[in-house]
Amino acid sequence: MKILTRSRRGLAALAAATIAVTGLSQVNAFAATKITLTEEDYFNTPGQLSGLASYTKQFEAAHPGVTVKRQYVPFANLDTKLLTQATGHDLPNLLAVDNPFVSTMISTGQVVPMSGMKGFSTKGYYPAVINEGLSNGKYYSLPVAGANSIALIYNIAMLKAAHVNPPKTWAQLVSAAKALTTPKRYGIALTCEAAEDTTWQWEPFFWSNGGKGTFANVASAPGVQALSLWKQLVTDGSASKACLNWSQTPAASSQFIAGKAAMMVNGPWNFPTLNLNHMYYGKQFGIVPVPVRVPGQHVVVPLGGEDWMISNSAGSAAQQLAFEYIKGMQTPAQELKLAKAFGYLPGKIAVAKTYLKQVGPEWKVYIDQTLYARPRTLGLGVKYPKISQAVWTAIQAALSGSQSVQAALKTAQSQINTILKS
Amino acid sequence: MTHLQRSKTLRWLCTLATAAALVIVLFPVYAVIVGSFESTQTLFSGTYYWLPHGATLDNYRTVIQAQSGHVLTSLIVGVGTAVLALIVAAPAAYALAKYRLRVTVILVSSLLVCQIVPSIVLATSLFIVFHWTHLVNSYPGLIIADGTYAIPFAILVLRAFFFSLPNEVMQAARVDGASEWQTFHRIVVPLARSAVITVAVFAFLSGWGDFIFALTILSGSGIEPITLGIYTYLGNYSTDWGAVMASGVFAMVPAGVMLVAAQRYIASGLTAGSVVG
Amino acid sequence: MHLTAWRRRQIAGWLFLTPAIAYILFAFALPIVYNVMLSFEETSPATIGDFTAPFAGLANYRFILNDPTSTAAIVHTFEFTAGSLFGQFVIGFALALLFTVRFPGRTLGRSLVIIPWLIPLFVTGVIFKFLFQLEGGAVNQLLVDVGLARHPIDWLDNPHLALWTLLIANIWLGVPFFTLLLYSALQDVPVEVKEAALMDGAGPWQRLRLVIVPIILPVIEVTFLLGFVFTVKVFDLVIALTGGGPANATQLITTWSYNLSFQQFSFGQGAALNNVLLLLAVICAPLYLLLSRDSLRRSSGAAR
Repeated sequence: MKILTRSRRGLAALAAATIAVTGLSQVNAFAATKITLTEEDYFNTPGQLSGLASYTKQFEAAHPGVTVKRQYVPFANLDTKLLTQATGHDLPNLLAVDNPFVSTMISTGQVVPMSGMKGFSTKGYYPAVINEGLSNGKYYSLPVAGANSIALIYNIAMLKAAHVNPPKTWAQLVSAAKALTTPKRYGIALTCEAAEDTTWQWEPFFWSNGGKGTFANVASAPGVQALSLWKQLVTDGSASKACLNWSQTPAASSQFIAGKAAMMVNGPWNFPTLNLNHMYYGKQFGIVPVPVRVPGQHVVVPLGGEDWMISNSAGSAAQQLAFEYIKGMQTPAQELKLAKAFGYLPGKIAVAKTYLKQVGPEWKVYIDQTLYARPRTLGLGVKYPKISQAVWTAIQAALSGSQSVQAALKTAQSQINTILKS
Repeated sequence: MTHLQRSKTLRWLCTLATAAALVIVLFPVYAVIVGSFESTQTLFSGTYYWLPHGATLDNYRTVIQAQSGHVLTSLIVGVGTAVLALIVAAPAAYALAKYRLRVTVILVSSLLVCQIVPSIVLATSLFIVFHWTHLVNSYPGLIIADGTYAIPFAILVLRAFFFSLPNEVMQAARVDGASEWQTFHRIVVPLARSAVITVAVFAFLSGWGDFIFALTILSGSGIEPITLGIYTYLGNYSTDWGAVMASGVFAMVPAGVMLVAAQRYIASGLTAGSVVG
Repeated sequence: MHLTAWRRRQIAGWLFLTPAIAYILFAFALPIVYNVMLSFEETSPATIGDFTAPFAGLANYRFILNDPTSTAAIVHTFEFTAGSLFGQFVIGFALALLFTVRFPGRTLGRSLVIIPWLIPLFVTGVIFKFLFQLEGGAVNQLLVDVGLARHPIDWLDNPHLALWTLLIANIWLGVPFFTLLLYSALQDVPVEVKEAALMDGAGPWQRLRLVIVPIILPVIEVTFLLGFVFTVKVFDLVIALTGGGPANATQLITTWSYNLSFQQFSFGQGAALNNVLLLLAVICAPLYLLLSRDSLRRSSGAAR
């Protein structure tokens, strides 16, 4: 071990020497004179973009000389990018991390706790929301715009024309999707790309049907039944096989907006986009909870949302400034504003109550279920992303036809058992 | 059928075969160009239109706004790779061709092996090595990495060329009192102009088109070449096909320029670099 | 006097070589050595790049051998490489032969046929993704319009087809390389030899097999070897076209090693898989050295 370490130092020295020989100096990408805070996220709906931009503008106005530079990374790439940057000790100052990935980011040691910072408080937040960033008694994160979850969004006119009611059970979902499918459109747009949003979309089906939060019984009846449902939607032709390339937003959601899918499982962050495309709740689209296998089952949805984290890549002054940026978002007025723009539920209980009074009926389903949503990393922490990969791989395998539903889940189960044991 | 007629028929069959091959070769390029002028609705309609259908410049507007910085980055990286390749490769190739050094055989053999090493193998470790040497997220880092495509090849091509120079040329210069370095850069390099251009073209294209090192070594904002820019767009899959196609057109421009300007060098370089190897 | 001139030239030669040697040590030797070391370490997001990762013994290699996706990736790599080389050679040789005939459009054809080779690999992948889309892709539109298929074919979404789609794209982009090399080799076949074969009354097929192929065999060998090395390395194309999916059906050694290293952050496992790939490439090295020395001797022998 010692020899290995020493020879590694030798390698580093060799590296430095060769650099010197080739005469290439180290030039960094940035050479800022004023203070620039770098920020990274995967937000891409018009509502999210304008909400974030207007807050940033306000923040910059209140802090002369400070610029916040935003970097967009597509959802499927952000986790990789953040880990790469953490390894290179090169994280942006501010990171908006998808909540199941917060534990992993803490484990890199490249993010700083907010607990000790001036003005930090955990008061008033939903426990599930604030505890996402809790590690060894320290808090590492605060919500970006609150929390969210998913439900079934349907096209009212299409359902009416096909004489079907919004489905409440899986059997109804299958028959409705079939009835809604025409040569020009599919009954439902699924999300099955090789990324977390696929697992997230499937979780309500699995969990509401008795699946465990740790996925320890994914190859048993709850998992097999839930995946068979998706498989059937595809084999019936009610869902496009192209979903293997589709992200939840914007790929699947644009299918719905373009009228190429009559239903989708998706979240409230789509409201601003839907409205921009002249689709309004109650007129063009309606919302019901994700259907359950047998009537009476309780709908369990995963808790969604992003959390701000601060990296240690800059000095403490910049870290404090980054915290100011985050803190400014946690006032009731800002929370309300951002939650509306993003299409999220505010992260504080009292603010959420005010919010319910202000927003329209399209929020009813989401609010009811978000309060009881299940945090994905609960009891799993850094293990969740690996488990999720095993799950979405199984979903892809089954839907693409490379494995049967049972075989795919069996493979996932053995991987998950190994991860859970480690 | 007379012999003449038969050979005439044969010739026309050859033309026909070539035409068929060219359709297959060129169609994807055609499709990108047409696609870059289509509206999002058209591309999203689920029907493919063989001819432009309601042409628009919107995609180019989007792309010029979003990608011109990336194009500039790719240009810098391409030119940087070409310069680095020439600086490192030309003197080395000269030494390997014209000086009797004990290291020649080992070095030429290791260059051949270097050409074989897969980029992903280098990328994984370079990412960490660059992290030690603070080259992550920097132009020099990316250019050094992209040099791995071009430099072994450049040395071998230039060496093959320098071999063909008669020794008398250098001897005459030395008799005139020129130093070794003067002989090299005043006499030898100008004579090797065509080989130098070949090498520069190849190095430029490899830097311009690189994706794997850009993906692995650039971890932050700031530097983002066109290939990575397109990759980001692909994350937005369904909504942005038009913009992706327009970016694709931008990414193919150097190929087009090279095709017109440096065809001769490309063909000769490809053969020289590979066969003489 | 004589000795000093010799010494002076030795020093000059070494100085000329210094940048190249430094470069090779830094950009090739160092990463390869480090990669080997990495493959014996138990890495995690917290320890990667620092000097604290624990020694893992052969655990990473054991993982690779037992991981179904890794072994599948190795198999896919072989299938993909064999298929590509076969397709590229057959089409490339046919085109090379075609271009030796004088006919109208020959020059134009020869210069345009190299286009696929000039497009960045990643962009080619994107283009083929567009062409092979399930709905609205040109290929499916053509097949359905012409009546060859009743429904659009799931080229990219079907695990049994996706590797074929990848193969088609790779053949498309690799043919110019074979065409150019084989064409220039065919140019070197002396006209007298061809004429002599014609006088003997050899048919076209026999002439090709018995006269032409033996002459250009060294070039064919080197081309195959380079084609092998080139195909084993393919990465950009796959990431753009299929991303290794669906359900890992097109995962090659390169892409799966990227996934292990940069997406799961198991750099040790990624490095172990990398070394499998390196081993494949290194096996080729002596063969390549031998063949290129052969052709080197031949070409320099012919020149003098």
